[in-house]
Amino acid sequence: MEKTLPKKAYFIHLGIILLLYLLIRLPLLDKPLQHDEVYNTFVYLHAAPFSQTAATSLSLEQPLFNWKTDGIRQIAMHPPFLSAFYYCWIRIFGDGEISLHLPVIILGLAGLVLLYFLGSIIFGSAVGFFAALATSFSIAHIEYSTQAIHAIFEVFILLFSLFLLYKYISTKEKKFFYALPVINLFGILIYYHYWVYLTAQTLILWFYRRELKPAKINFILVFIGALLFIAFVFRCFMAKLYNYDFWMLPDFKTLVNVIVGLPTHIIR
Amino acid sequence: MTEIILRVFFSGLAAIFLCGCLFIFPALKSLRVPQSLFKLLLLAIFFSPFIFYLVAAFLGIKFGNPRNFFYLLPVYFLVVFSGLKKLLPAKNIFYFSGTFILILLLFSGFSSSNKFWQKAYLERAMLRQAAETGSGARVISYTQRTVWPFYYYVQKYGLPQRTFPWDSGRNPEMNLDFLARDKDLRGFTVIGDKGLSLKDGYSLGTKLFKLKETIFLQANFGPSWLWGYSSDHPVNAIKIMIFNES
Repeated sequence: MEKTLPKKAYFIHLGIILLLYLLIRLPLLDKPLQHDEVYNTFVYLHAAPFSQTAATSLSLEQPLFNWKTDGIRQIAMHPPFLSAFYYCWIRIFGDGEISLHLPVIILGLAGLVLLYFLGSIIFGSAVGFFAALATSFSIAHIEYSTQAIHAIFEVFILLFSLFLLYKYISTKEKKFFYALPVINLFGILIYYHYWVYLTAQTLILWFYRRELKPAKINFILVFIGALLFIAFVFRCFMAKLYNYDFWMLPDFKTLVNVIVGLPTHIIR
Repeated sequence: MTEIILRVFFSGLAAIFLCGCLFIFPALKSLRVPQSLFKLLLLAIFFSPFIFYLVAAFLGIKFGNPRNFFYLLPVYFLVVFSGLKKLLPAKNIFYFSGTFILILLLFSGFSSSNKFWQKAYLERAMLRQAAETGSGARVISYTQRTVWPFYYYVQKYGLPQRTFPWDSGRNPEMNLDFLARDKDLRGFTVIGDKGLSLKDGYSLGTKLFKLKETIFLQANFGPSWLWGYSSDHPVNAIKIMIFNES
């Protein structure tokens, strides 16, 4: 464990992170919506399972895009939670740029604060501070933290879950363990590849089950959930719902490029 | 030149990241909770999607979007800076190097390194899209406004303005882009969503929208894998709109 800093130093670090984050993000608060945001907003309002909006007539010879015709593909791509969230959000605050960008900007900042604390605990405050600022300065984060899409929600959920896991492991207090499934549930409702992280987390808990004594029901639920998820992905795959030409090329070079270019990845 | 500098910089970051991974491995010797365990957990979190992906690749499945790796970004930087700290234990040198990395990251948004692919691929992509949309289609290329954030401050405080690569070549009709900004989104109908692969790993993600009688297609395209720059790199974003004149 790194030596702890005085509280004042933490506040100074957080103040700098907050200031620089807002300095970069606020000019982008009302930037024009990118086409993915327009598209997603349409999905939130029209294609969400709870929406009753009927599809409008089209003049192109294209399949109708509404919940009936495209719902399965939508669910195959992303879980419905974010659509539900934005459906309610837009109903209350409208679908203007500022309204759509505000939740992601707030969550992006909350994620950086969590990252700072997590990094400080594990590697020391200097590493936590620099990691938070670097994340804040990276092109990918700048872009995604001002876009009403899934990406920044994923970052926040992952960091929140890691933070709870750390608190549980270090303090062994059950309240953190009980909070974990809740945040994990949000994770799998926001993005499907959260299952990859959840598998790693569950294996760690299993490995230390004698020391930490987590409830067995946790393992059973994750195991059943994983099986259902695999069946779901398999079904969607067989139905060719993931048949996108521009998806990743399956080669090693691609993986190297992902690691090299992670701070700059802006791909929709 | 800028492109070379950025390639070296991001490759350097990746190298420091890998050093960080190596420094974390000794934690295997003493698997005590919480700290050693957590360092390993971070590595497991970072690499498990890659393992998942490799298995999918082994099975011959083209699976996923690189954006799926974005959530690993904070973990990536934690490992980078922990690696840097191990490589440069002297406090002053660590702070100096860390600040240098931050500055380079911040200004990597300046890059105009994708100029070459604009020339090489724009025309081909446009023609292909036009052919698919129908003979009556009219193709207009345009750029979107940069999201380089300090542009706002440059404009606001009257400092010398930087001209971005394609700003001067805007077609007046590009204002149609801001239909998305000015109109009620509920007026839009999404009528298509697909991706096309161009040669050499270049990709074209498209969305087809309809607003009143105008049908338009917005496309992102770019070298998805070339050093991480892609269609929507903030400075280099290019879109294509194909209008059906009827």
